Amino acid sequence: MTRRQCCNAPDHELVAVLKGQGNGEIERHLESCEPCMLRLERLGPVTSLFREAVDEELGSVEALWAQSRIQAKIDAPEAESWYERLAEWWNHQLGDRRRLAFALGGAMMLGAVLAPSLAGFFASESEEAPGGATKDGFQSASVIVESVEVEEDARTVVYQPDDGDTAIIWIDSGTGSDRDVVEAGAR
Amino acid sequence: MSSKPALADSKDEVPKLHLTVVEATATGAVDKELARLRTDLARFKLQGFKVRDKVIMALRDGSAGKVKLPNKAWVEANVETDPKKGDARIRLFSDNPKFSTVLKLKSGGRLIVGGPKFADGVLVFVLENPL
Repeated sequence: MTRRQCCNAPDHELVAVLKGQGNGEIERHLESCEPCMLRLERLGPVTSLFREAVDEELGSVEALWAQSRIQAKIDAPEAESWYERLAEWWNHQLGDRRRLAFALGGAMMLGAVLAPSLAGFFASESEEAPGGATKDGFQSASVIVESVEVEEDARTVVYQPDDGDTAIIWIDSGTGSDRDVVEAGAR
Repeated sequence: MSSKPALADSKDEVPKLHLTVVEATATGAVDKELARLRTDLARFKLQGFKVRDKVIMALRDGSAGKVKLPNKAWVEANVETDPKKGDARIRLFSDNPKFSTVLKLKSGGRLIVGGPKFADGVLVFVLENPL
C-alpha cells in the first residue's frame, strides 16, 4: 500500500486495526507511517467512547417482539404429551384470530342461552292463536280428541298419536270379546 | 252404495268434511275407496271393510251431516267452530250405541270410531278433513 492509499483509507479500516481485526497490509504500513499512526491514535479514544455509549444503550433496549417470540419458541421445552401437542397446535392455529374465535364462541353461548327463551316465547304466542296448538302434547297432531262419552255399560278405548293424522276410538259395548277386536297398544 | 252429498257447499274452495260408515267383518276385503285407510284399519283385527254410506258436508260453523245406519240407528256430525277462526271443532254422536265425542280436526286429520255391532261384524265411522 502506498502512503497516499494509506492516508486515504477510511476510518472503519483503521478502527478494525484498533479492534485487532485489521488488514495485515495496513498494519504493516502503520508501523512506518507517522501521519497514519497519529490518525489512529486520535481514533482510538473516540472509538472506545462510542463503543461504551452503544453498549450502554443496547442494554436498555428491549428485544424485538418477534425476536423474543422466536427465542421463546426455541427455548420452550418440546411438548411430550398429546394434550400439550394439541394445545400447542391449537394456539398456533388461533394465532392472531384468537379474539375472533372468542367472539364467535361468546356469540354461540349467547345463542344457546337465548334460543330456548325465544322458542318458549313464540310457543306461548302460538297458544293464543284461535285453534292453535295447545300445551297438552298434541301440537303437531291433525286430530285432537277432546272428549268421549258413551252409555253407562259401554267403555271406550282411545288411540291418539301425538303427531299423527288419525285418532281411533273403539266402543266396547260390554259383551266381553269386543276389546279383542282392537289392536293392543291403543290407549 | 252411492255417496250422497248432504249440506254440501257448491263452492269448491270451502273445505269439506267426509263422514263414511263402514261395515267391518272378520273376513273379506278392503274396498278400493278405503285403500288409503288400510294402515289405520289394520289396527282392528278384522279383514273386510266395506263402505255402507257416506256424507260430505261443508266444513263451516253450523254445518251438519247425518247418516242412517244399517241397524236403523244414525250417526251425526256437527261443526261447532268456524274453521276460519282456527281448527274445526266437531261433535260426532250416534243414538245406538249412545256415543258422543268432541274433537278438533285439522286439514288432513281423521277420526275412526269402531264398535257398534251389526250383523256378523261391527260398524266403523270414518270422519275426515281431507287435504
